[in-house]
Amino acid sequence: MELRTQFYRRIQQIDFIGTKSNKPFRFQFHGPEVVELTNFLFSDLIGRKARARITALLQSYTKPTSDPQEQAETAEKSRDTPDEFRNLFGTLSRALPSASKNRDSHMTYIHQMYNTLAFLEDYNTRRMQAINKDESFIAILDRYGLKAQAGWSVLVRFLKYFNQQIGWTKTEHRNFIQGAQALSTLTDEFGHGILVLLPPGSNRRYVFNVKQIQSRVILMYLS
Amino acid sequence: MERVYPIIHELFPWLKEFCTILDQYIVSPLLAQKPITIPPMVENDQISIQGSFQKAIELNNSRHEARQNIGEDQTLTLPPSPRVGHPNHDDEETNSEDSDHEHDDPNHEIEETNSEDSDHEHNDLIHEIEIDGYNEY
Repeated sequence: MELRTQFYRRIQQIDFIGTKSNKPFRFQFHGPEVVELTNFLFSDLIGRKARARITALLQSYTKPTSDPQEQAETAEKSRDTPDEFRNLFGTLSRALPSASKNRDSHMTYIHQMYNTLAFLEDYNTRRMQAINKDESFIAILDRYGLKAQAGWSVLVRFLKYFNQQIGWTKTEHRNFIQGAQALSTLTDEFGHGILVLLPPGSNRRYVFNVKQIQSRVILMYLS
Repeated sequence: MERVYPIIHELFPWLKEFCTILDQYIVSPLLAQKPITIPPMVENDQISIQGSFQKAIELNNSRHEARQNIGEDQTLTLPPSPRVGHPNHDDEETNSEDSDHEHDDPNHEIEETNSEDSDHEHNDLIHEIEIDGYNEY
């Protein structure tokens, strides 16, 4: 049986445990979620799209001097280029995609995802301090005038301050953290090398795209 | 209770080692702001395992199985991956040739039905699944 089909069928049979209002409940992923996850694995993570990303990355590193866009830009500015042709090369350089910029943007994505993991680690440390009512942590909140109101836990004080600083809604906050958690789950399992295979924006799509949120949330339940 | 990652490891026994190589040759140097040096390996839209990337297979304990899954010795052809049927979700680069091929291959058609219900379930799930401690207020 084809690997994809094997995976698809087996995932459908798994019982997962989620939480709702801090109470555990069992659930299964149904057709759309399993399709989403199957596509994520077989298309985004190890499939054609991943291959295209790695191929582009490798090409840009193994053939750094063969970027027509950069060469056209150089030709535009070169003293050796006849003045009559400068505009020709100039417009071409602005029309062509830049291999080095593509490479750099991919690197930027990897950096962003890595920093998302670093953020999550710091965030979780602070969150645990709040949950444990750490005295030094409370002192920080008090020092900056982040006073408690009736019914607010230390964690709520911190989260309200945090969201206010960033301009996040509760939902945006939760989506980002869930996305970061999903990323963390993946890297815990496969190491940081998996970041090279992930599609651009894997650390920040969740806020904007419900379907993307879903597939990343699914990843949290994998391990 | 069966879990998902073990299934992924079982189906793709080479993946973790491949990620280790990617980490070693791309991510770690990138984060350390060191130059990235990758041996030439791009041929005909396939990633050939040459030089250091050979390790992705050599390090694998079940090399035979890996080769079987991958297809060819010496060449890591990441599994061809037409998207299984998921309407309205082609958000990245597309390749019309591949797309045509996908339609020709019934084995690659895993389709969901009743998209309205599906979307509804989808959204509900988002709101129902919570992660401990992230919905504290």
